[in-house]
Amino acid sequence: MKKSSYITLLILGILIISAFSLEIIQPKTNKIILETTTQKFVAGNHIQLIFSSKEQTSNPLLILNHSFGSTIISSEKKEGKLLFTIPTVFSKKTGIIDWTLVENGKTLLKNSFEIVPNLESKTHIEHYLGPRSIQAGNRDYSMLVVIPTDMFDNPLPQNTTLNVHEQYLQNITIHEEKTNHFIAWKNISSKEKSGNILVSSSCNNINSNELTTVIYPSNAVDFNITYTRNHDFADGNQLTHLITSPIIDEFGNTVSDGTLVEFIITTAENTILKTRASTINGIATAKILHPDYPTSWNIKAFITGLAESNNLIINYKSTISDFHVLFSKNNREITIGPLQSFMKQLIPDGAVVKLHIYHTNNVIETKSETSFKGFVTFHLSEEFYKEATYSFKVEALGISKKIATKNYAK
Amino acid sequence: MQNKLNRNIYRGILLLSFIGLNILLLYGATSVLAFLKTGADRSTMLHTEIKSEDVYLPKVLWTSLENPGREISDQELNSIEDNYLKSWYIKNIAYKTNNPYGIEDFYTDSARVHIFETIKLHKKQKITVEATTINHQPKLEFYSEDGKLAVITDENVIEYKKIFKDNQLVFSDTDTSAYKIVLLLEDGFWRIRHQVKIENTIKKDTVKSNLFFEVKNNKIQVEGKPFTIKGINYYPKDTPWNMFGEKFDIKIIEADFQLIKNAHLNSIRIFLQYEDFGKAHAISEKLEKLKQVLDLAEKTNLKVIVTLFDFYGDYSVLNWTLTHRHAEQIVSTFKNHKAILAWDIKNEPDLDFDNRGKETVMAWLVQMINEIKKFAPNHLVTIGWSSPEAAQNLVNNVDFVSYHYYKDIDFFENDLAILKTHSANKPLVLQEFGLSSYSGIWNAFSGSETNQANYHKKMQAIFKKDSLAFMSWGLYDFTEIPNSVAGRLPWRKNKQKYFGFIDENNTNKPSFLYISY
Repeated sequence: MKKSSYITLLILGILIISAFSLEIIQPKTNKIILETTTQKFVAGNHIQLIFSSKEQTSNPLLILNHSFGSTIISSEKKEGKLLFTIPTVFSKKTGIIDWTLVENGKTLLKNSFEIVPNLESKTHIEHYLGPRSIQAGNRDYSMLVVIPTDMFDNPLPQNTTLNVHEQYLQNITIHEEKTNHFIAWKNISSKEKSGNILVSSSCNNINSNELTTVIYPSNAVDFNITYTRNHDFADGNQLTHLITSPIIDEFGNTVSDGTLVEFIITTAENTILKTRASTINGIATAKILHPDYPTSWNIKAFITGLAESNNLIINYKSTISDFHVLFSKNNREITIGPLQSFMKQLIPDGAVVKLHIYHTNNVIETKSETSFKGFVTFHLSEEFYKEATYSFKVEALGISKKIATKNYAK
Repeated sequence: MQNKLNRNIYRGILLLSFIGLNILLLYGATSVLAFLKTGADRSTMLHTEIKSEDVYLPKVLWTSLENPGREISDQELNSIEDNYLKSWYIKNIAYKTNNPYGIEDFYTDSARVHIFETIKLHKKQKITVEATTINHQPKLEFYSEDGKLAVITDENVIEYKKIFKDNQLVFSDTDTSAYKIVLLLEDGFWRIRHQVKIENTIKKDTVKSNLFFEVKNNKIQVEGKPFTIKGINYYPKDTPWNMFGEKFDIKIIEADFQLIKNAHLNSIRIFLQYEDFGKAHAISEKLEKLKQVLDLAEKTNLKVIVTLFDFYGDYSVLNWTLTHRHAEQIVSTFKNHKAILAWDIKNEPDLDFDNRGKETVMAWLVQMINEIKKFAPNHLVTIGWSSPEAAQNLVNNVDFVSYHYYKDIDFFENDLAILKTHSANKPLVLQEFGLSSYSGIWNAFSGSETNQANYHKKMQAIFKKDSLAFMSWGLYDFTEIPNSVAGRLPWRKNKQKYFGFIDENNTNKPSFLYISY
């Protein structure tokens, strides 16, 4: 008897446990099962998630979290199954899509699938090259970044192979690169000779357009300067041309047009004059007016911070040896001239003549006039110059002349 | 006589209205002239003025800047970060309103098309999405030599979203994702060229570095010993709801703390107002004052429950990150302070359920608890619910359950028993209770200090029986109550003034005898 009662208990126990286990196998939330087994879809293809549901009445919604945000999809019922069609807006973009099946705010199922780039479709190549101008030599470089995409603008997968083509003078080279983090990149090194490098890329037999990076000459190296002038007289009228030798960089490239060269002129009196010019075909030609008195100039040219020239010394001779000073109208009008130049010709208009006026050995005033047709006239008015005597000094084109005391008494 | 008076009145009115009309005319004419004279400021032509307001401040932590391209400068990195976050902000607004305003600035031609299409689809199907990101951990993968292209991997992007269809909330969720992003510098904007959701690989958990405060066996423990809160809600007598303002005086607080300690209480609850503390940019001066208070509490051996976000009531999803920065700056400053027993996220948030939506408020609280746990893993966290019924919310998220009780004392034990069964075995703290001793016209002279004393006597008896944790409201009677606390209605305001154990003349009321057990 005891044995049978044990057996009954055992059977009862098993029954109870199995009843519970049935509960466990089919908890309420698992009434809906995902039938779609695919975990990876190709971008642009039709994507549908199919669920089978025990309960015919349920009408859950599918929440999608995709690369660019979230959305809701409603189902479509077909033969007792729930079909969720992913709209093309989302099915054409790659990335992981997390989905949640919800009903009345409660999560029924949760999972994710991945959309991978469409490798069958035509590849598009987007590439960026920069900086677009580099310096000759072996230090500088441009960088080419290539982003190959499929026809839906999705970056191609990791380790996609692509070729980078590079043309420089007679050389055309091809490098193989692989994408990483959506991009492939290559440094385009500069060369010693200035010129253009053309770059293009290709992937899956699709070729990009060409991009150009320009190799500009490197920094200038030291150079020489010379001069030309019409004559060596200090006439304050002619121009002296200061000319550089062709300026080149360390690799022999002529420096870029427009490179600014500054000429610093130190005069015999230690004042500094400046003139500047920019290069054309490597040569800069600056001009400077002749001095109007005999002097000696020491000239050196600089490309600021980069290069400098030799020292150049230029001497200027005096144009005139002497001039006349004529007092008239009670000594109140002083006429200086004719000012005659090196061929006895009248000096060109504009030569500066200075008149220093003294009274009892003190300078009262210095008047300055420019010549006109070889003459300069100063006028001392009675209203301003009331003293009885004045003495003078006249300076013109580097020659000075003292004039003894003149009497102005009435 | 009457006639003459009338005539004079008419004359007066006529004269005054004439003058009035003239004033109005003059005023009108001058304001028109003034308007015409103030042309556009010339400097606006160049758009050089900086109109910058912090609108979106999720936590951003660059995990690596090592990249095979060019080394990035701080300035460029800031500019990428700024534009990248704005791209999220603008996109969130666009999906919320289904209006693509501003998308052009932060997405390139090819990328923006996708957002436009999504918005078109959402508009058609009446879907709107409210979302905000809370955390970003970007890694710079590549920065090009010319500084015009960057690739980043943004991991641990924690995002909260609410999805609506036909204006009905369908689903809300917080998830963690990772994205790989290509950005291009165009027209001075870093714009998103590619954005692809990828597998999130890093998982990070905050680690408790010490167990100074913990909850064990249904009890709050301090340094391994069970701690029963016997406390009081504290404001200084003269500065209620403005404890850290101009009139802040640490000497007064010191005397009060001593008084509290001598009354056999062991903890206090204080309040930090959201705006007062500087919103997204916590004011260092206020933090300094708070530090003085906390240091003093530690010296006096009082534990402090710090209630954050007092008077905050926005909760809108797009402003969440600003509140996160507020909490971060305050909480992380004091993350190892031994006086702080717990951070009370918000006082009575259930009162905002009706206006702001229960869903939104609860989601904000959950996220805020996560944030605060991240910044101060060693402190406890609670929420000051306004009733035992409301306190059943989020019991699994808090370390201990706080509730307030202003109902009839007779129901207390029953209400407490119900809460106990719904509190996931968490410790319970009666965080506010009390009775006003106000007696006046507005309550028909029904209150009295004796009533108040009896109330506290009864309550303390109940507490003593079961060793319950309590914090009474409050230490002092107040002479002024801000409108933002109890409204303008005099019967509410006056009642609120007389909850203290000590009256305005600094004399102990009869209830003071029953301040603790």
